[in-house]
Amino acid sequence: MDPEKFRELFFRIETEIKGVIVGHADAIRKVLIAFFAGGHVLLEGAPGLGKTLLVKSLSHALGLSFKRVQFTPDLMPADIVGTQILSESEGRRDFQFKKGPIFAHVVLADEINRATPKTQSAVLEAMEERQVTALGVTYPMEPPFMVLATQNPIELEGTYPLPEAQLDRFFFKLLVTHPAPAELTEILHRTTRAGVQEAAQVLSADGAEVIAGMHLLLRQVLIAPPLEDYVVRLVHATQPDGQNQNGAVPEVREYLRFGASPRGAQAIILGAKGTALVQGRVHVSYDDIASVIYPALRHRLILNFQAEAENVTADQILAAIIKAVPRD
Amino acid sequence: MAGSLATPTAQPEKIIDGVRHRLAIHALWQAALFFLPPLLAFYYVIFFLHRFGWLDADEVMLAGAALLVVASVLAVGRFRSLAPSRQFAARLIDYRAEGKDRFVTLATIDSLASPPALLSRLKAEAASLQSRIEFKRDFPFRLRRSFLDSCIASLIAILIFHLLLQLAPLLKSNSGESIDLTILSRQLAQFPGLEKLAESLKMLAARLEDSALSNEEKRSLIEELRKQVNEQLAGAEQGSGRGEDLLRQTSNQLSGMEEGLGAGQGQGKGAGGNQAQSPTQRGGGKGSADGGQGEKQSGLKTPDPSSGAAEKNLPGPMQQTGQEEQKQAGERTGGKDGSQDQGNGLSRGPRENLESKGGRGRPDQKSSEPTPQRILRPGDQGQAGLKDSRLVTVQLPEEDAGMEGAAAAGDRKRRTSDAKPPVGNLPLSRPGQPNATPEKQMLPLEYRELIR
Repeated sequence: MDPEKFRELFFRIETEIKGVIVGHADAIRKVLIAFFAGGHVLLEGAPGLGKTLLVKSLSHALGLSFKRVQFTPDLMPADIVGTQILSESEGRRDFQFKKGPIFAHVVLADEINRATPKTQSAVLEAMEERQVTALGVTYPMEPPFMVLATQNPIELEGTYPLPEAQLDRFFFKLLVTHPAPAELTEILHRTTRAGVQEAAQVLSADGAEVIAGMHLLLRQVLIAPPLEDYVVRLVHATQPDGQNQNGAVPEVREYLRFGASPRGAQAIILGAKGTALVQGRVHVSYDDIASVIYPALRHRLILNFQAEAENVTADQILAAIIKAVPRD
Repeated sequence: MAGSLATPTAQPEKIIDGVRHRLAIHALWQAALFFLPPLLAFYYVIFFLHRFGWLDADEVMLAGAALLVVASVLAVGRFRSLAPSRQFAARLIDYRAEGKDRFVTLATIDSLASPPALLSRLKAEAASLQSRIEFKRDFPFRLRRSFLDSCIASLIAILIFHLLLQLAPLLKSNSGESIDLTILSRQLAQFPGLEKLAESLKMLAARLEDSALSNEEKRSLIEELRKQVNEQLAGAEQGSGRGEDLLRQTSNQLSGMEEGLGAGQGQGKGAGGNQAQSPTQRGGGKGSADGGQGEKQSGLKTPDPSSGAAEKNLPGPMQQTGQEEQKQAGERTGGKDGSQDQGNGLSRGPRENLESKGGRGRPDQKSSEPTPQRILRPGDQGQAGLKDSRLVTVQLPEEDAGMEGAAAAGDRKRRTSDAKPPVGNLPLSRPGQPNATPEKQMLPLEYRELIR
């Protein structure tokens, strides 16, 4: 895959999604970068902001299979993964595995925090191992595979916050904010008239191969060792214990219970590589890293009680870390 | 390095290396300039010490070479810390050319493990940015703040050195004369034919440090060597220059020391009595127990015309330092003559008083002898600013009581009795019975304050 070809396809997909979703340009780009980096995305925002539409538009534009799972408290793991059913053919009765909605290229886990932890954990293996095991049989997921989960920051009664282990499996956590007045006007124009605009399919039937090529190219993007070292220092600075106990970021010691895992560093570098390709470069710059630090690390910082009590957010702590860690 | 503009066809790696080389040269200059002022300051101190005989030529050469080596090593160490890395040079290029970390990536990435297509594309992008780089414009040599700090620190060090030189005579120990002799021996050793004498002088200086020797033995040693010096001086050709001056200075120094030892010994024997000293025994009045303190000054101040000539022939700083030493030594003796006064009673001659007051210019009485030029005459301005000041020694009742413990107090009181009419309260003989024991005439209370 040629970098220019990557860029062209990326912008075509992005343009199609932007034709449906008004605003959220940064979220759309980050979702696409995470997709081509092979990651999963957690979208957090109030209801009605277009999260579900964004995911549907993405799958349409990519020409990939799309499944949506509405997570509720009574949702069972089998409802996601699949279950054995008794089937009869030619006079013989056999158990067959009926694949659940997780077996799709793009899976929308809507309001994932409303399901029980048991159900939530059903998607863990699929997200990380890209395979599902049911009754001792392992079923591989067909690439590309991406889980986009949404959660509502309000109406927290009766919800089950995602466990840290599951949060760590999300490549990015994106905040979907309310649209600006002009954007809201455009939303009204598009949604209150006759006809519903949908994203056109950009990739054809060989879309999976193209996506695999783009995925490979993204990982080949050059990154200098000093930049990798910067990422390492950033992630290490999020650790409130160990060597960083006497570090230079007091906010980390004061408000964090746990810091980012190595997956955080991986997400930063892959996200920066994707950003570099989108910017038309074949190498990562510091600016690329800076643009993905927040979505890559904000859900990996586990705040303590004091931070919750003082309404300190992970983004505030990340800002302090970025300020404290020098680039050179 | 020439300020050549990078050509678009040049390899970006060469640009990085070129900038790094240029920055390395800058760093070398920075390191050299940082250590240059302290090196020059040290050389100044060394040559200063050499000029005044504290260091001989060999020591100067050795110290100079050692300093050069140390400064070079330190400069190399600083250069290594300042020398830019390839990454640093690339980062600067990125900053100047807005290269978005292209040069940093090129400078640090493992080219063998990188996809060739992407690497070649990165090189092409970096090469297109080279036209934005101009060495002279973008990487000029600038003096660092550290150089200025180094200059200031060096100047301060030199000032402190001179300040310490000024304070050194005040802090000088009892071995000051031996040091002076050592200095003289080093200076003499530089003149052909005087090496043996210099060696003898050096040995004498070493022996004078020996506390086991009595003053008499020391004096005899000094006298013996002084004779050698005088013989050498007599045999020296007229106008032989500084060697002759040094010989005269050495002779004067030895004379002063000899007289000082003699005076100190005489004091020890005549304590409590009225020991009269000859006018030539100047410096004897400084008689502390060892009789050695301050004699150097008296030796230098021997009213020998040749000595004066020798002092005049000294080069400027040397002469100035000598005068200052005389002045300060005079102050020392002036401050220590209280015990001598106690021992000598009131019998010291006026000239001795003059000498005992050292450089303070406190003439007591005019001597009937031919007055050397250096002694103040009536109407001359004294060093302490007193004009035509006269001194009178007044024996206070405490002194009359002969109390040894009141010696210091008596000294203090005597200082306050300067410029008083020559009237004393000495015991008077009874009329008609001149041989009777004189009765004491007590000082009226109302006059005490005036005299004190």
